[in-house]
Amino acid sequence: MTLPNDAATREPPREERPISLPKLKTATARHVQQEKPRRFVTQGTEYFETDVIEIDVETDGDFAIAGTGPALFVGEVPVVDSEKLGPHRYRFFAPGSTTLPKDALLALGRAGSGTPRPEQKTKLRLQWNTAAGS
Amino acid sequence: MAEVPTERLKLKETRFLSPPVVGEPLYQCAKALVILGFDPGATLDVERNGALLLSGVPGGFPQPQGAILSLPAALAAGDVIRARQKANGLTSGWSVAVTVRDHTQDFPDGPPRPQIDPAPVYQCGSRTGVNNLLTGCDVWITANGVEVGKVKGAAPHQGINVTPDYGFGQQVRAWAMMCKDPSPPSLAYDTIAPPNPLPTPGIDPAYAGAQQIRINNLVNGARFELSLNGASLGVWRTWGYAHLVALPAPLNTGDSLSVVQRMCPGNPPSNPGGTTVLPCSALPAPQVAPVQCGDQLVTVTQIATGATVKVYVNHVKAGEGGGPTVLLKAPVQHGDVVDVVQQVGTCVSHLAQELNCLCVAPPVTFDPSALDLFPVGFTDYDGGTVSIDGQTLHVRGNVFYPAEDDGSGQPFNKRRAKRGPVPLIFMAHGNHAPEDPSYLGYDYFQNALAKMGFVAISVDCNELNGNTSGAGNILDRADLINASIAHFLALNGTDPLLKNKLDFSKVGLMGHSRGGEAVVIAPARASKPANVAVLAVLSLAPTDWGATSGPPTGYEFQTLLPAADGDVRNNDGAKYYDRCLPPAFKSQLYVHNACHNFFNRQWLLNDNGGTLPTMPRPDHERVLLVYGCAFFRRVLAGHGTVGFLTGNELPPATPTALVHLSFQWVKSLTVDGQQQNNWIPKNNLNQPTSQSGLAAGEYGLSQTAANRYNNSFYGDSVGMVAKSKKTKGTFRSPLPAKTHLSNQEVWIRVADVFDGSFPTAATGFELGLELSGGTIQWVDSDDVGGVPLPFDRGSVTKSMPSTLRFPVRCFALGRRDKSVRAILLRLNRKDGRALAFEDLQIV
Repeated sequence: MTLPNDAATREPPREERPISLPKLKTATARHVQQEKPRRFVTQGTEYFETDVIEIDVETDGDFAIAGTGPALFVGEVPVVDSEKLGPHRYRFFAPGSTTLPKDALLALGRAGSGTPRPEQKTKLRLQWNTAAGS
Repeated sequence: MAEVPTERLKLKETRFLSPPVVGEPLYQCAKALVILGFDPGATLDVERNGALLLSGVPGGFPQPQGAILSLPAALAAGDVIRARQKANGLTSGWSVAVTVRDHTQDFPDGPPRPQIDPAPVYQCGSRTGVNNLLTGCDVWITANGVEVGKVKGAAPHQGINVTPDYGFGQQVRAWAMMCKDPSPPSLAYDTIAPPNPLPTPGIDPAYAGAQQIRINNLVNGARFELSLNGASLGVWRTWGYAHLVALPAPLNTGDSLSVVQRMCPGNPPSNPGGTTVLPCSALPAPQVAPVQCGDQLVTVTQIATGATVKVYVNHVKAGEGGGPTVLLKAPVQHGDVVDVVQQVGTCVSHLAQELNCLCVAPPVTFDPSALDLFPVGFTDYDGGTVSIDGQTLHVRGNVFYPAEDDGSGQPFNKRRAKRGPVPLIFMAHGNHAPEDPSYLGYDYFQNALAKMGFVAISVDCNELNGNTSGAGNILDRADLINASIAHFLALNGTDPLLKNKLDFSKVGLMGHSRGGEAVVIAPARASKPANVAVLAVLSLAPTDWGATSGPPTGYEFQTLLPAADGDVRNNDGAKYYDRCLPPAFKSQLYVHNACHNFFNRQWLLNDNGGTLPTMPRPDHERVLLVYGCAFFRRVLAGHGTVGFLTGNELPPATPTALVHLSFQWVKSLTVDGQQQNNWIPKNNLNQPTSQSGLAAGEYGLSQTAANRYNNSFYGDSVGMVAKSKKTKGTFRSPLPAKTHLSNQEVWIRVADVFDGSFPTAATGFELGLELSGGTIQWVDSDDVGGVPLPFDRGSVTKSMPSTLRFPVRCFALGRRDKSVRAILLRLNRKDGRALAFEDLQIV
């Protein structure tokens, strides 16, 4: 007769990992003239621009949904306005007047808590997909 | 504090017996009162308006809740009551007098709400505990609306025997009345089947000579039978959890006690539990709370059942009573040696608890989150949609409010409404997975606020949650909060539930994470409706996306910074605190072992991934409840709860050792600091400072200042960092001539500066007052609570200042020495660690 001993395996541990960043795979920028001006905020002050730089990036994973969020560094310049386009794909926005250094290396970091710092550095450089690219 | 052999102390007895304590408050119409702190077996006298009202009443045992004494006539407002005890041939002095009040002064909406405690209530239960009562009131219990038990002249926590025993599935409620003024009913509990088999009850260690024992692990409403050496001593009903039993004769070493409990007749009793009586030599020292210099009492936190506590100051008996508070003959002075022993029968503990008083040792007082006056109603709200930055967003969430009874959609509490509109608090969650209803995560906070008379609204910001990031997202959240405020403004005009119930001149905001940043700016947004006054903002673990501009201003401010935050790692609320220019005060809580997510019940994962020490979720909620309620009660209702924010008092059952406070009164005299960029060489009073034996410089205490000392500061202020070149380097900050200090305190914010290596022990310093004659009186930081160790986050450990309070009474100034000409800081530790100072104030 079989004893009624259960032998269920251990429940998988909860996913308790510190917030980590995905790795950057590609980043493509373009200048866009938006019909509806896009809002930007600097030190609490709103302003609106129709000339906007959009940078589409592809990563090897998703950013965590949290209080902090993604920051894309073009050289030393952080771009922190972003939205998700799809799995592992994000679009960052910067005012068209932003000077993004040519041939600068790209990095990812976290924005929303203090001054963003590049944490996930890469050897990648920004690709511009139109002649209007600076 | 240390345990020392009692025999070595050569303690000297005196004929001093501590006065007992009359339980406060006392209210008109009370038919009973409670006397606390007397010796076990003492007799009690009670005096009313100078005439003896009760004489020689046996007090029994002072634990667990004193003696409840029935009165020959009900109390009247203005009566002055005091009591004394007689024991072992000694008579105490009279207690502090208590003046009887009209309960409607303190409870204009009626007596507070009874609480069935402990809950739940079981089928076959024979007794129920009811808590949160006004002393001397009438209290009764109903089962399915039929009264099954009543006590006239109740204790604050009263047990009520019920007849018949509860049936299955009955709805049980408690009710109270004072001066024919009824309380709201308690929460309703449906009786459930008791545990079967019943747990085995236990008995706490009992010592030879004891005449009282404590039975534990009891089921609510059970009957238990106690036996001594195999002979039954009888059957008792119990409200459960634990029960103190008075015995007919003292116990002897080796006596065997056993106990079983029973519930329903058809079910078997529990297995017997028991203990063997221990010899006198096993009686331990009592446990004692720290003593604050100048206090005239000692509070014991753990004593043997039925013990008497004796307190000796400088080895001479200065207090004797039954605890938990023992009043002393005279205030404890700095340098006094205090020894505390306990005695059971003739047995005195062979170890004494020995301690010195501390300059600052805040007492544990009351729970600012526990004010329980009203049933709580709740409902979802839907204010349609609003267009914010081109997005169509729903204005919705839920609201908790004081109600006639508990539950969804219950009518607003009529008595509270009759007295005028009530303050509101809007809450806003932060960014999280949109599929989780984050706005439901603060229900515990909403419930606590509603039961004390606030309307607490949680705004559903889920349509702004997800993968959109940037400062614009914060502005949108602020506008959505304001849209909800506008919606409630409209409800206040027309809604059948809330019409004319809401006081928009007293509005508070609480925001978490991105919501914490949004509430900082919401009051200044154009979207905020006119005629709405935001008086209080609680910013919980706020982000900094750059949505703020300039100092937060126009409201009292509180921020809670989780030191183990794995998301908002920089604790950006520290910047808001430093920059804030409130009307009256600002408050900061830097909470060690707290993570980002555990304040919201919908956010399940620990954001630091377990890489940092993290306290359990209930402790997170407890900290927010206690300090958040203290904040909103103070600002929106004028309650006396600010002492929890300044550190003058501590809440019970809270991990206060992990909570490091900063606090600033705006109108206090700032001697140095407050971002005046003038620590060195002149202070804020334009007096020239001086230093010797240390290197002190003025630095930006932030991540971004050009002149920062190092990268360990995360606020936004300017302060002094000093490092001693030799032991006892000093910094002197003069005061204007004829500065007289007496009952004030000197406050200073200080941080142990993290320099890349984690300190092995806490550091400290001394603060001195230089008298007009040139002498200097010093008090050590360890004597006022100490400089906290940083919270260890490896290379990114923060130097986070907290406020230390140095009461002037600690400096032992003579009557002629009140004129102080300078405040000095002396870095006297051999560890040579740098300390950061800011906001040197006289309060």
